[in-house]
Amino acid sequence: MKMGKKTAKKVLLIGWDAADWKIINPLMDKGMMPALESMINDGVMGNIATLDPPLSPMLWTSISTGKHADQHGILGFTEPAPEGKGIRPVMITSRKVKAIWNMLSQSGFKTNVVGWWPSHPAEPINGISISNFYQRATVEYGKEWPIAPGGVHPKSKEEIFKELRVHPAELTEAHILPFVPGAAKIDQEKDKRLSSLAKIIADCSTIHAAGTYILENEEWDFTAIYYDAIDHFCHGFMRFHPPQMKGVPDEMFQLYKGVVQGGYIYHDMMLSRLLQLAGDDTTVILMSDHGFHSDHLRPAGIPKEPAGPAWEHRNYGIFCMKGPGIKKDERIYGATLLDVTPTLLTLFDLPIGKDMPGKPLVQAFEEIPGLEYVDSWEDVPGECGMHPSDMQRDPIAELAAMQQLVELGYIQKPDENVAKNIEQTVDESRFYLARVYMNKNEYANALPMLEDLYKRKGKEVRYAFRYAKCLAALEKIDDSNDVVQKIIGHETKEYPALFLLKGTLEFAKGNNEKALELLKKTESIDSKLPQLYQQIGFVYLRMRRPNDAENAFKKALENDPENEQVHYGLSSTMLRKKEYELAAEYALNAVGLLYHYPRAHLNLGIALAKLGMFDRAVEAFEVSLRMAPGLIAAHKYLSYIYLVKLQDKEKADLHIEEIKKLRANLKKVNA
Amino acid sequence: MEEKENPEEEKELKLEVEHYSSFEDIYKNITKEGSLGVLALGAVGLKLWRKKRAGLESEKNNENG
Repeated sequence: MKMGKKTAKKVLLIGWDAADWKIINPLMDKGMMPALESMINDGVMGNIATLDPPLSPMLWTSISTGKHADQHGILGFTEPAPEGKGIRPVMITSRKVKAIWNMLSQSGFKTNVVGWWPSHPAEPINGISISNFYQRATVEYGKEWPIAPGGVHPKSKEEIFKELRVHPAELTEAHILPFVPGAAKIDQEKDKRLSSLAKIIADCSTIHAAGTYILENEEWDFTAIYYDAIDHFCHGFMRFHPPQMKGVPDEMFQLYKGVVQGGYIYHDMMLSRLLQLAGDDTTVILMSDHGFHSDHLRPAGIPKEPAGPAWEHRNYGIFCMKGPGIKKDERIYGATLLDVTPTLLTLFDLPIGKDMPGKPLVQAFEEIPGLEYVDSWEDVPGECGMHPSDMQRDPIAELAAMQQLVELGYIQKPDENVAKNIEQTVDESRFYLARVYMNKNEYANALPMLEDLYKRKGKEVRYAFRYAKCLAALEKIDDSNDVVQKIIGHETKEYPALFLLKGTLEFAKGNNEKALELLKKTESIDSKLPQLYQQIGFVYLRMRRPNDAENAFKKALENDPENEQVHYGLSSTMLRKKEYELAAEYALNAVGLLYHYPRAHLNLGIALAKLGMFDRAVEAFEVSLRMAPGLIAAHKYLSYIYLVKLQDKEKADLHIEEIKKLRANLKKVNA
Repeated sequence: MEEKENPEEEKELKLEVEHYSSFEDIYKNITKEGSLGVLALGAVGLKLWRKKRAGLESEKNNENG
């Protein structure tokens, strides 16, 4: 295994939590985000698909480790504190695997990380580590404000970074008025939003000061800086963002309508400085972990449940990269959060772990780099800067961090009953873990956890709903139906999502007419429900009514043009209508949004084969089979193309053998 | 979710990057209140703002006697 030879001179990874092209693009068009625009012109940009559940500590740990949350172990915002003393914000000590800065540290690179979520206590890496407890103001302005123990590594640098923190009360009207020009009209006794805004600005300015200090004054090969402020601006103020939402009073709209936009512009100003300090010979990656609904898809209300604000998150975040050897002014497709660590390892000419489910984004490179692999970085010996198991704690800093999570609505105010808090936290973690398994299509692993939650807390709709979905995915349709029926029975409110699920279950049972009836009922309650029209489209498709299917999918597309399942549905519709160019186009859109989508690659292959483009069709079928080796249709097409069109009987026979094996397996399962 | 039409034209925010030729130049132009542009410069901007603010406060104190 190679160690320490690198192709990228330096790499700067910038995280903007919740940043979304839907807000950025209009700002760039108006010339209000010049730094990001210059970065895009000099490099590649695209969507990056998030993971489920879209909760930032889990996502940023997937970004930094290249692993799903069941592998890395960060399962939510909070965790039980040691010795059963209650709960605390999730800590880095719960991460079970190496992060990119550990892999780089042990490979001899100077590595810095600032503010990553979670990163407290700061890890003893080969460089500087600033934890996510560093920036929080825990005392009144002017009083002694110590650094939280474990806030900075190495400890010898504490004094430097202590002075780089901005307290919210240090800010003046010069910092607040650009966001809220009418701030003077606000009665701050009644409306605490200005104080929240000051905290957000102070916290991100602190992170920025620490990050820029490192870039300017320390030796470095890799630096990662994480800014959480865009997520916080959006959760606090997106409902006031134009166009004015129904229910938002005019006065409030006028006061706060510029905050989200201002947040993005301020980040662009900070980016300008980062790019200047990084220099042209540094590879810079700017990315977010998920997007944020800013248009008609903004939810009218946030459910009062743990992690409820995550309903505002959108499935696609931003990704852009520029630097030596990176293509210029091009778009990349199909990136996921899991691809970031493999891409970083590739930039440093280091091997990718075979236990990392993502892929390096080689489409961004001017020349395809040579890739090497190791079984797992966990087995690579050497000092990597991870913590020993016994770690110090800081209850005051923990309390401040908890308070912020409560203010953002990510967690409920802790109950006085310690045992109840711990139980709730453990249940939430298990719920998130079950969702991770479902996200990976490992429904059998998710089922026991959801079953347990349903048995104990079945009246909580979100637990019951996921349990029903999991049962349906495992083709236990009747059981799933029972669960849905029970929820409908004890809920007084008409949940359109439940009728949608019931319709989906009838569809799974093959009752197309009944499914359509339920879906139409859903439409009469809430026609804007995500997935409604796409589900109607799939029902029509199976009823062999492609024109109705097309209409339904197009309605879904009007609602959300970046829904990969709708593009897939349209590609299937166009195949049925024998409009193969359009079928290929929609399939390409689907894989462009979500690369790991085997059925969309299959549709692409079919469309290309029908258009006589056999080499490209083979490529698409092969991709679909790498992702889902059990796709019999792909083997069928490949055997035909190899035998009849490409005259390669040997390869055709291989696929025929595979079909036989798969059919035999299916028989066994059905028996 | 439904939205209302907003007839009022969007006003641009007064957020601007500070463009200076040197740090001396920044120091000269910085005000006691500071600005987002100076904070966006990171550690250097923050230190310069605090230095200028302390200087101005000390001048004022001297003037007051």
